[in-house]
Amino acid sequence: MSESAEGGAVDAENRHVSPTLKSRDLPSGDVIDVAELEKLLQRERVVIITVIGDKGAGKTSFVSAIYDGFSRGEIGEFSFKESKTILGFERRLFQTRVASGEAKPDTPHTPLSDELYFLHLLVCGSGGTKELVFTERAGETYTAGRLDPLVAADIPELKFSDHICVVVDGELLAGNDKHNALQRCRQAIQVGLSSGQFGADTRLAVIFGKSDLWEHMASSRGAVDRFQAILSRDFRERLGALQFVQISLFGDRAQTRNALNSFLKQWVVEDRVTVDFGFSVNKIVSNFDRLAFYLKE
Amino acid sequence: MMDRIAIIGFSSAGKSTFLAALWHALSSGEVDSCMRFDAAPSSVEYLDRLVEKWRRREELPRTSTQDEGVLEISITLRRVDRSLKLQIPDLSGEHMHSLVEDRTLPNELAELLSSASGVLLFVSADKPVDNMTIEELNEIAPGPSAEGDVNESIEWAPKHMPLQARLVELLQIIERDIAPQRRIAIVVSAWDLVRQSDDPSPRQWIERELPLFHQYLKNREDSLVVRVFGVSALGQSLSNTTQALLDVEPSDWLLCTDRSSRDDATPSRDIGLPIEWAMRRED
Repeated sequence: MSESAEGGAVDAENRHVSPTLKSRDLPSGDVIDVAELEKLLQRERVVIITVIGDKGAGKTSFVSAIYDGFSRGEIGEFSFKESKTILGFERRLFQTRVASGEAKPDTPHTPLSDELYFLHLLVCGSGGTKELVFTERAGETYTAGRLDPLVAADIPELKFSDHICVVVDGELLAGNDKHNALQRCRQAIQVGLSSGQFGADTRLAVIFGKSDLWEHMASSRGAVDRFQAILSRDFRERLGALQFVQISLFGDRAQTRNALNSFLKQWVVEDRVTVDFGFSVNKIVSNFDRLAFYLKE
Repeated sequence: MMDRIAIIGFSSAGKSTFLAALWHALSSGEVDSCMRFDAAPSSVEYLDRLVEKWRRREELPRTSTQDEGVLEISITLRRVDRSLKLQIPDLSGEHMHSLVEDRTLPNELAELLSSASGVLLFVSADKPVDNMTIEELNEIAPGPSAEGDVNESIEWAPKHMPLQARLVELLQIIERDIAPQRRIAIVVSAWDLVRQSDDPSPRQWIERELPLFHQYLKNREDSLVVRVFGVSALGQSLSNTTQALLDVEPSDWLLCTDRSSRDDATPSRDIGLPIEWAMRRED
């Protein structure tokens, strides 16, 4: 190899050889950011799922459980096709594995940040192939939103998501904080509605986590049943859909897979193609609004 | 014109052992192969070092990026009576770790993968159990650990990803960043270990042992043409070496199968089959 007259490397037949770079960087594979999501939205129909709840409620565990389910086999009729964030899922699941050296399974808390990130899965099912993205934000932000409608109004994913999942910490349901845990959930829905983020288009699921810890306790069971009835009475008419799911990610595996299967059915098979959020072009002032606009278009 | 075959896989997947066994199978004339060996147009010093160790059933050293050799041979593909020169680099597994874990794509690797006439991806059947959960362990061995048994917590790094996640990510990177529309022969090495157990087909083994990878392959049939081969280049693990094994012709150690179910054809000794298949233009 030698130098050409114009500079740069040439090979034995005097052809220019792409020089300089010995290697190039690849995407992190941990999360995708808003800019990457925008690119995806321009190409594909994407289902955006926002999982909210206070710090430690189990939001990351729930999202990671879907990937973990696929890593053990197909979930009902659904199978894994791709993930742009496979390292992200693996990182979040590491503390549930023996290799971590931990004595008890756990998932890391999402660090507090102003940035919004996403985890990604491409899933195949009878309804075809669907891009699923899960928002990734620290629980502290959602706690602040729950306590202040002005803050909630500034959390864009509450509006632009196709599905909202509110996670209730099952560990609290098993103890004396159960009523607080339930009322925090109600408060989150209430403030979502009063701030205008939730409405007749919002499909919302309340997830009572770690059910293996409280399902057998009559008082917890009763409190959850009454809570569901009151929530249905007060909010069902004001939301697009409201459902309740009890799930244990580290308990009965068949039960977990059934629950995940029913979520995937909603996200992949029953997905609406057109979502009208009532946005107009002149309201597109931020990345988040642009996302909503893409969804609408 | 030189056709290049890319043999890829993570460390200890059996790539160098395969290359040594292939060189023996082709050059010794002991195996009735789909490829006829015509000549070696350049030095075979590197391969000779490997193959002599292999014939003595000695452990081959792990290939580092500094001592990668290359097998260059002129062969004829008997099925289509086509003569060609093949270049098969003995690529270090370190490149794959660099891709998936360090997130860097060396240009030379990108160039090899995008120009290769065929790609073989190696996975060893002798893989560690790397995705067991703490819950699963507790089910097998319930009760609190003895104080002395408590492990130290380990901070996560990409190298801790289970093999199936690394394999998916490797193929995702190849498809997205290097060369879409690929034909890939997946070679499950150390297949003798699988045959000693319940004898599934290579595809069934992938489905059972690497379910995420299996789903990925199944759902990418529009862009990825895949066939799974079970290959044994040693017949038995090195630790089980007996005088009887050393006395038979080394090609008797070889085994290659691509059967799609338990009942299909008996294994062949022709370990050139994955290369021949990977180089085909169509099935």
